[in-house]
Order: sequence, then structure tokens, then C-alpha cells
Amino acid sequence: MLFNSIAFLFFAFIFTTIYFYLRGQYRLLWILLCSYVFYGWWDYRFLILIAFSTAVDFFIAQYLHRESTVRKRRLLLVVSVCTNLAVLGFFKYCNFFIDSFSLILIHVFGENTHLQTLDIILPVGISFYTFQSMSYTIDVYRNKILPEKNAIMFASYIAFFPQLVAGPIVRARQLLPQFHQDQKFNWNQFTLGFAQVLVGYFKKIVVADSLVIVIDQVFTAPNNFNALNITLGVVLYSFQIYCDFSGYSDIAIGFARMLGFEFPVNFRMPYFSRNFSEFWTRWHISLSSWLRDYVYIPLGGNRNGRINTYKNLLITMLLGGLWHGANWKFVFWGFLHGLYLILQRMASPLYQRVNRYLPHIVQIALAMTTTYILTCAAWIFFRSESFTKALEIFHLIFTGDWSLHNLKNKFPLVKSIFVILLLLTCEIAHCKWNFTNVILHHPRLRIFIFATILWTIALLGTFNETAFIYFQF
Amino acid sequence: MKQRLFTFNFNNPKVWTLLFVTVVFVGDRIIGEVLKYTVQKSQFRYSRLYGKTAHSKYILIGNSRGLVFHSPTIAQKTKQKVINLSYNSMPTELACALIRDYLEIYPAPKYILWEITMLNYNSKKLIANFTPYQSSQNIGPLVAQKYPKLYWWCNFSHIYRYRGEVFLRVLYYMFKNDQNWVLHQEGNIQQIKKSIAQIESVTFRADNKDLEKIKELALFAKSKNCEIKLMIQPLFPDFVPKVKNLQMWKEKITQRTGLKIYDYSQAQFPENYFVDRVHLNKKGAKAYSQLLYNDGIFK
Repeated sequence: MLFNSIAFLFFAFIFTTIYFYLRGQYRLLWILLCSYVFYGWWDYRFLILIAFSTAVDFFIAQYLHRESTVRKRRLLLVVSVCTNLAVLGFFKYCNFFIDSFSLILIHVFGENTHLQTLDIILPVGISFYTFQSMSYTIDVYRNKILPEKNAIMFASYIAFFPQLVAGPIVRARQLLPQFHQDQKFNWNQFTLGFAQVLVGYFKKIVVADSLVIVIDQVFTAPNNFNALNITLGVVLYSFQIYCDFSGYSDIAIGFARMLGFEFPVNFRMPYFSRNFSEFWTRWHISLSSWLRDYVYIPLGGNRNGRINTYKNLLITMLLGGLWHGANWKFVFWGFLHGLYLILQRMASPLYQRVNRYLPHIVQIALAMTTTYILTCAAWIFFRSESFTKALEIFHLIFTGDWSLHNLKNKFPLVKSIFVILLLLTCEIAHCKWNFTNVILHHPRLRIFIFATILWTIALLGTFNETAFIYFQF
Repeated sequence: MKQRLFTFNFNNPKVWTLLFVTVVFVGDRIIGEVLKYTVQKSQFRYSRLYGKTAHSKYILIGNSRGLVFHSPTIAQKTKQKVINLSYNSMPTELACALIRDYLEIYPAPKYILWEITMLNYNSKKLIANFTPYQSSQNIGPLVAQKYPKLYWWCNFSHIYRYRGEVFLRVLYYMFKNDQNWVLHQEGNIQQIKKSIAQIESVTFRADNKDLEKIKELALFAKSKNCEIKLMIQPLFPDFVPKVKNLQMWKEKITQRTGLKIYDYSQAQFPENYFVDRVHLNKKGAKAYSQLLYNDGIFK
């Protein structure tokens, strides 16, 4: 079920109304039932997968807690991690590995060695709930949390529908304690949550979906467009993916807040980052912190010298890239970000020396612009259909015609730029004046703020129920 | 001391929700009216059509190729008022609805010049973009028939009617004439030839339902002493042989509609008159309009 579908609006209304009438186990059962309906709406067969992942980690965590010998505990953890990765690997990466292996065989032994790929459907949100489930057993293994004894509560945590299919990845230690409390209806939390849901819809329906028409054409047939069109297409894509994903996160976080749950922030204006370390503390924060805690730090982090730090950064970002999809372009995107992080560390002394001669505002502008341009360059690989097409786009940008006269799709472009400026204005204004207080303490003004968002969505929105980009990951 | 007639406790969730819903609804209707007024006051061709300022002797209609009819040249040559009602990717049903609306609002024009290559493209998507004009006699029922859900939502929220590209054009042409629109680009002849060379063959299509609609409209126009002339604009010389069924296609259209086709697809136009294989540029558009005048199409 898509957040931006009419079906979801009905579903959310019925769920919320009944949710606040129920207490204790009944409420948990209601959450679990509705979460499974939400997921099964797409394909009910894959409910078995969630149930399987849930059951494995639930029982392994119980054994882990009871077991005291290090060797057995480690073995149990390996079983849990391997089971989760096996499910993820089979459904998400199987054909990728077959294809890549096939390519190697063709290179070595010739044309006749092509291997047949399998006909596998990628279950929506598998990367999200697998990571969530895995982090639970790892945390139990590390004695950071106690295992959950209530199976329904644990199943509700894994399948909690606001964040089930596209995050944020909420750790057990953040969410499970909240399930233990019977969340009461809190009008202030409800309105703040509702505000965030509206902002999420604005980002998705008004910004992300309005940009699709221009971006798709540019990335499918870049040859039909001039350099200015392509560059604008890339810039718009950076906003499309941001608004699509952060829009989803806003709806998830906001809806959970309406129900009384507190999710961690997943995006904090990432394109205002001054370097890539900062970027990864602002972009998909729940994934980057997951990778930091469960991959980068266990690998050694920055503790064993410069070379090892670079190696760990690169491995983490490569895995981060691979997490996004079973395709070499995502791996390359991860590699580029790894490289950016390494280069940033290497160039840091030189950068500080140059900065001494520049006014503060110029330093910030320069740092933000450079980070943004390099991020966009990486997005080209991320969005292009193939590596070759990405290189073709770069070639066209650097050698093509930049005249405004030959610009195509002028009307959609004007609308796209307008909605992006509108979004940036609102985000900057929110940063400066923090609308939370206004929403909480000025109920009359709140009416007009919410109504204005709704009217804007009705006027500028694109209502074709486009799936969220991150569903495919 | 002045006493208030009504006092609302805005901190009460029920009161707040009720007021919120009321404000959203009333605001929607007020903004909807403002947007409607904006549409009516625009100089965009359809706003003029429904704003009753589009009375003309000649009506031009078609898809992106229809936009190439150069109204200023035709108006200058014929010394008569001309209006071009074409739009990119316009489907035949929408064109029929617009023409019917015109014939119901204004005294009949002398001729309607119809670029019929639009029959080859059967996308109905544009109809969904015409909701700013859905209060018209023929557009509203068409939207309701093709997109019933959309029509329902447009009645539910009046702002929602103005969400598409057509409304953006309404704003763009708020204070300026849209009738001198023409493709200014110069086509890259080598690239056009290359792209045509890659095409094996093209088959032109014409849906029987669309032809039936044109036939009905032609009869309606005839009852008002107006004639519909079906036109085929010049195609890039290398592209013509690629259209394998051009003759058969024309015969089918003539047979089904009973209307004569004025075929200029093979008019000897220089290659630099084209932007691509099917669209004329400014030079081409002017030359084509001049050619139509010379051939007595407007007499």
C-alpha cells in the first residue's frame, strides 16, 4: 500500500480510530494485523518472509540471552546474521551475482558460458526490515538490550507499518521501549505529527512527483537534450530523490508521532552540508548510523592509522552502495562517496590553509557548492540506466550546447524550479523560526498553515500514485 | 463592553478539527473562484474561446503540427480573424469538443482547417489537463467520460482543477498573445536524416471512432454553413517514403468522414524549413501558410 494512495488514507483513518480505543495486547495485535495487511496489500506471499525473519531473530535472541559461553553466543549470532543475509541475498542479490559471474565466465571462456538468471520478485522493503531485525540480535549479543519476551510485541516492532517498507531503520532500543508503554492520545503530539505528514505529502506529491516528467526523459534519452537541459535534469533529480525519500520518512515519522511514537530524524537538509562527513550525518541518517555502528566501527573505524581508516571508509560506503540495489552502478555510487570521504580527509590540511585567506561566508558557500556538485555527480551514476549512459551524460554536459533558446520542456521546468524554491524557502524559514512552536501554541494560525499546505498540494501536486523510489531498495 | 457573539475553544480537538475542515472547504471554493477568474482573463487560446473573444473567420486545429499553422501570416494575407486552437498531442475527441464548443458559442467560421496527422496519435492524456475548462458544454462531459475519478475530485476540490500544464500556460499567456507561437529552432539536417535513416517504416493509423466523431462534427458544422478542411502538412522529404500506407490512410479517412483531404505532405519544401522530421520551423510555417493562401484554401 502506498502512502500516497487513497486506499492508505482510508486505512490510516480506520487504523488510527480503532488504535486509540484499544489497550495492551489488543492494541499490539491490532498494530500487527494492520501492519501485515499494509504489507500484504502489495503481495501477501511475502508475509511469510517477514514472519520467518521475525521468528528466527526472536528465538535466537532468547537463546543468546540465556547462553553464557562466548563460542555459542557467537555461533547464534552468526546463524541470525547469516539467515537474514541469506534471505536478503537470495531475493535481492541472487541475479546480480549470477549476472556478474556470468560476465566473468564469458570474458574467460567465451560466449557459450552464459548462466541463466532466476525469476525472482524483489520483496518491497526487504533491506529495511532485514537490517532492523539484524541490529536487534547484534544488540542483544552485545548486551546493549534485553531480548523481547513478548512475541507479538517483537513482531509488531519488525512489521510496524509506518516504517516497514522504506524506513527509517528504527533500532530495537529506540522503539521497543515505546511499545511497552500504552501510548495515550496526545493532541499536541497528534498535531505535530499531522504537520509532518502534510510536509511529507508536500515533498512527495508536489515536489518529487512533479519533477519525474522532466527527469525521466533526460535520463532515458540524454541525446535529445542540450547540456543545460541535462544539467537541470541532474539538479532536479537530486531534489526528486531527496523529496521522495525524505517525504516518505516525514510521513512515517509524522504518522508514528500521531500514534504517540517517537522515531529518529532521517534527513536534516542534506544539501546544505559543507563536506561529505556532514552529508552522511544529514542524509538517510538511520542507514548511515546503522552502517557506522554495525560495519565501520566493528571494522576498526578510524583507530588503526590512516590507511586502515580509508580502507574501512571505502568498505562501508561500498556496502552502503550495494544496499541500495543489486547493480554495479550503486556499488560505484558507494565507491564515489567512499572516495569523497577519503579525499576530504586527505585534503583537509590544505583546505584549512586556503580557508585562512577567505571570508567566512565565502568559505561556507564554496564548501556547500562543492559538496553539492560532487553529490550531483554521484547521483548521475545512481540514476542512469547504465554506466555507459552515465558517462554519456557527463560527456554531453561538458561538450553540449548551453543555450537557453534550445531548452526543451520549459513549462514543466519552470514549475519544477518554482516548487523547489518553495520547498527551500519553507525549509530555511523553518530553520530560522521553528514552526513547531507556532503549530503548538497558535491553534488559529495552525489552521491556516495546514490548510495552505493542503491547498498547495491540490494546486501544484502530481497525483499519479507514483511509488516511492526507495521501495525498490 | 463589547461582547463576542461566538467564542471558540481552539484547544479543543473537536472544535479545532471542525473549524479546520470548514476553512479548508471554504478556502478551496474561494481560491477556486479566483483561479477561475484568472483563467477567464488570460489571453491563452482556450481562455479566449470560452471568454467569448475568439470570434474568427478561420479556425485552425491539430496537435503540435497544427500549432505550425502560422496564424499571423494567414490573418495578414486573408485580412480576416484567425484563431489556432491546436495543442501538443491533442486527441481527436478533445479537438471535436473544442470545435463543438466554438460552434455553439460563436457564429460559424468559414472554414475549419484540421491537421489530421493527429489521428495517428491516440493518447487521451491531454484531456485530463483540460479541467480548467471543464465547466464548458463539451469539455466537462468528455473529462467525466474519460476520467470519472478525476472529474469527481475536480468537483470535490475546485483548486484541483487548475493543477496541470494547461493552467501554467494560462498564466504564461495572461497578458500576451499566443497566436504567433512558432518553433524558432533551426533543425540539424544531418541529425534529422540520420534519425530517419534508422526508421524502417512507419504506419499511420486512424481510429474508426475518431473518424466517426469528425464526420458527426462535419455534419454539425455544415448545418451552420461551415466547412471542415482536412490538411496534411509537409513532412521532411526523406520521411515521406517511410510512411508505407499514406495513400490507404488518406482513402480510409475520406471514405469514413466524407471530407476532402488537402495533402501537402510531399510539398517540395527545403530541408532547412524543418526542425525535425514532422515539424516546420518559423520559415517553414510562414511558407506553408503562404502556400495555403496561394492555393486558395481560404477562398
